Amino acid sequence: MPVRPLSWFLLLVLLGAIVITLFPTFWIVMTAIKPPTDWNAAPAIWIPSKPTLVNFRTLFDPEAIREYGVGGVSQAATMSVLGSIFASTTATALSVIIGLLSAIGISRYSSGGRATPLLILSGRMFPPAAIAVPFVIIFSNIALIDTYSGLIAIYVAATLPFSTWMLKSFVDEIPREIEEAAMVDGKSRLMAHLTVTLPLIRGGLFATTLFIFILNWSEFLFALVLSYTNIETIPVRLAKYVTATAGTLYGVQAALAVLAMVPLVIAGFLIQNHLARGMTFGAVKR
Amino acid sequence: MTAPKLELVDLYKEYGDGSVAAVDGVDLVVEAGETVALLGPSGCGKSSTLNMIVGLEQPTSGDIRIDGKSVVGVPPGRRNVGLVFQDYAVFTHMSVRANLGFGLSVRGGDRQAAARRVEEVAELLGLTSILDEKATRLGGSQLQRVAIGRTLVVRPAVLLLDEPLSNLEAESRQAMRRELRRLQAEIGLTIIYVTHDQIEALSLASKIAVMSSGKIVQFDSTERVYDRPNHVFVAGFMGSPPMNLVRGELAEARFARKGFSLTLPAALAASAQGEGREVTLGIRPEQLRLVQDGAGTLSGRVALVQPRGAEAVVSIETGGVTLQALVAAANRPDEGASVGLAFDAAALTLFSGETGRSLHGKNGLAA
Amino acid sequence: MRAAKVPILDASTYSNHGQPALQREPSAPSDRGGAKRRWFVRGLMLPGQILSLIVLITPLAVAFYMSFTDWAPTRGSLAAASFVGIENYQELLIYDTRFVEAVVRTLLLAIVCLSIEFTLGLGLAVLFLRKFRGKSLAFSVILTPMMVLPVVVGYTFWMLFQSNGPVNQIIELIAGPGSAPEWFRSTPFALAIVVITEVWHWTPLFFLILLSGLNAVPENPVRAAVILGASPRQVFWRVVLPMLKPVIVVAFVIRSMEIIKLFDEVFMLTRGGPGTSTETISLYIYKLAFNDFQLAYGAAAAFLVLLGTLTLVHILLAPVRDQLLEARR
Repeated sequence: MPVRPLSWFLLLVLLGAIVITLFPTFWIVMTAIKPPTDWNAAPAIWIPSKPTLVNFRTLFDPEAIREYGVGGVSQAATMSVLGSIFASTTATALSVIIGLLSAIGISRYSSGGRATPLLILSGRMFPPAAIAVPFVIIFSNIALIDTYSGLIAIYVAATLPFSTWMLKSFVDEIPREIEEAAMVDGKSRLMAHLTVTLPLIRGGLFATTLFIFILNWSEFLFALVLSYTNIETIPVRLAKYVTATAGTLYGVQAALAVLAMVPLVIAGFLIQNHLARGMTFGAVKR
Repeated sequence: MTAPKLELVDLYKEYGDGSVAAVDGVDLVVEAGETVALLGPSGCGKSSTLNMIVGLEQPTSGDIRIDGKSVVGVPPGRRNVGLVFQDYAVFTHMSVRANLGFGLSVRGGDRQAAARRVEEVAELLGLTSILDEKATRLGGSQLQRVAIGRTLVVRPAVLLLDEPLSNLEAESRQAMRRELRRLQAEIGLTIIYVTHDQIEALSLASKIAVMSSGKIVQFDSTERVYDRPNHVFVAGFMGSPPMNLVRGELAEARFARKGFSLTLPAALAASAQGEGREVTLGIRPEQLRLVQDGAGTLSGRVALVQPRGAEAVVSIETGGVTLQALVAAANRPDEGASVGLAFDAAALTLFSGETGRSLHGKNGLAA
Repeated sequence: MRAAKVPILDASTYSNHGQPALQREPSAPSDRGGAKRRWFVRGLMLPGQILSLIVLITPLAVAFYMSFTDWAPTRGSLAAASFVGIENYQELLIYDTRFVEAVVRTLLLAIVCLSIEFTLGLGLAVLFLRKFRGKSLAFSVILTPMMVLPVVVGYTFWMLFQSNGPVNQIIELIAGPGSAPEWFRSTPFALAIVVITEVWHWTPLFFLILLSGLNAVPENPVRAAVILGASPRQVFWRVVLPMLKPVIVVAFVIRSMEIIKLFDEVFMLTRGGPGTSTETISLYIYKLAFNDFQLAYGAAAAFLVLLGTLTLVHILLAPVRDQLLEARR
């Protein structure tokens, strides 16, 4: 069938979709650069006349907002930003490494049967709120609650199905004869996989890593119930701003939201061709 | 006289910037009930021609007529042509019955009549027993029958088949070949095969149009295309192994090239009068006979023997030229042996070295 | 780009003597090589399995046991809790209208959201089969919502739908002053916000999956239908869409699994309010466990949900299971 161009009507539909897609993000960015007087003005102010970075500064220095005559925020978000970076990157690295080993096992040695995908899927079906309950109990008993180790362990386990199946779909695309040739040349099994296959799936590895990072960085519920005072992530801080000071700190909260969003949007753009593969556990390739 | 079923008139198709024409002025007339093979190597423009006939592509210029009416600009569904794809393209999510009925069902109209027509075609193709099977469960030749039946249901004026035998196993090929012959005979269908496989063309069609670089080089009955190729290209394309072709120069009746010379029959030499001295001499491998060394017109040494069951292809070096001969397996010589080569003068063909055209018939010397 | 194919070993390679490397070749395992190979594979799988055992299976087992007790953190250790059989489950299914309502609400939300997301996603995907300038940029833009953190999405829409927020501003501009609703104070409007938020957030996923599927639809059946006289509309509904079925099912399965766990956005938007009118299953379980400390009861609820989800996915996958599993091999 010949590829047809867009009609005027469809072009309008597309433009509408793009405006609706962008508007919420536009609004949060605008709010993040509004001075406190504009935060909750009626009627709402779309574009601030005096844009400011004070909201971003307040995230790291709670006193900064005082120059606008607003009471200081009790706590800086520094810890949550560092916490998010630490927990997400560590958990992502572990998830991808362990996932890669499993992916090679499943792809090259058909480890696990036909039911494996469905088993892994059922793991994803359980409401996290419910898994969190026994976690809290067990972690309290072995002193893992309110620690990054505990949170990271959960993040790795929760993202392992994604990393395993996404990487498996990449490994499947490399002919195994290449590895076998390397083994004949005297390389050990592990070295053959690592030195031959790994460079060939570089792109896939990169995409998987960013995808798992997106999942970990976005996670909210586990962080919420497993953190008390020692650890914190950005989503938890974002929720706490609502809880503690609802209606008063729009701008600061928006600034944190923007900060949280930026790495993910960049990561997402970089791997947009692999997003479908990631979300569907490799069932949809492109 | 009724109009021919299908006419292509000076058909052109250009892609991109138009510097290369994929189809470069094709003329073709197919009469009702004929089976024609459009034969050529990949990239010769046969697929573009096919797509233009069914209406998936529009010609850059020229005309396509079906039953005497121009169909240029007519959408594919209204052209009354059927196409059977190489991969069959059966609708796998439907039953055989739904596949067969698709063409009538999208047109609307009497459902009962449509159902009767589906039964009729199923009967014709031996699909009755699997009418309610899902298409995913069928094998290759069954799929092809469904694909053929799906087009026959809407009674096309012309049926086109793209590489019809290439996806079938050897055994099914034989059966399908018979089946296609029978269909043609029973319902007087006009069929065009599009193929790159000369064996397929020779076995299926009564006429062959050989295409090369967007042009039809020769359009003639199957026998004549094989026996009397009108161009070096056709000679080198048809047959397995193809015709032996030797380039050389002609002086009077003497054909010569470095280390190789042959005196041609006067009549043949005369046909080349007025042409340049450069010619190509051709002879079919099966026309070459192996005789005692010294007893034939030529003598040479056997370089290679390739047995092919009942026959063997023998390569003979003679005067710096390698000729292939097809001989009965029982008569094959040993490699390295010296043999003589004999042939009838009438089996020789001469082509112009300049244009590649056959020099036969030019001076009234048709075989 | 594919790497060049390396020739596979042929029989003659094996006849070389004294090449220990060859004996490790997987297709000719000696007994020792076989055992070694098995241990190697076990070694590959082990880290993942241990982790799953500790972090998924054990808590699940504990939760499963807990769901048959009356344990609460205020009553001492779990071992001391008394076994109550299926009491928790009975309570949930028969007497706990709040749970049943949460289940029904979540399912209705799922149906409404998924239908809208599918329709919009398919429409957009079909639009992207046309050609137009700036297509790849438009593609990237359309995908952005799914890259935003759920918590941020929740917070953003909470702001958009404030009574003096931009959405109400636009509504009053069009329909006149006083026409804008107090979104968070009425049940239907609060539910509408949840639907709008979910649709905005996840329509891109349907769009992405369906576009991948549409681009992978083989050309020839489509051409065959055109030649047989089908109109573009008939081609789409009778040939393209049925061939897209496995992809559509995958999209629905993935999205249903996620929306049944819906928590983050609702937590940020409404906390389940007003009252319990936007409370999802996950939110209810969260409140049971971490606000009311009814951990055992919450665990029972979670298992009911898991059972329901498994059944749902099973039903959804049934028509395409074979196709999907084969595609994985």
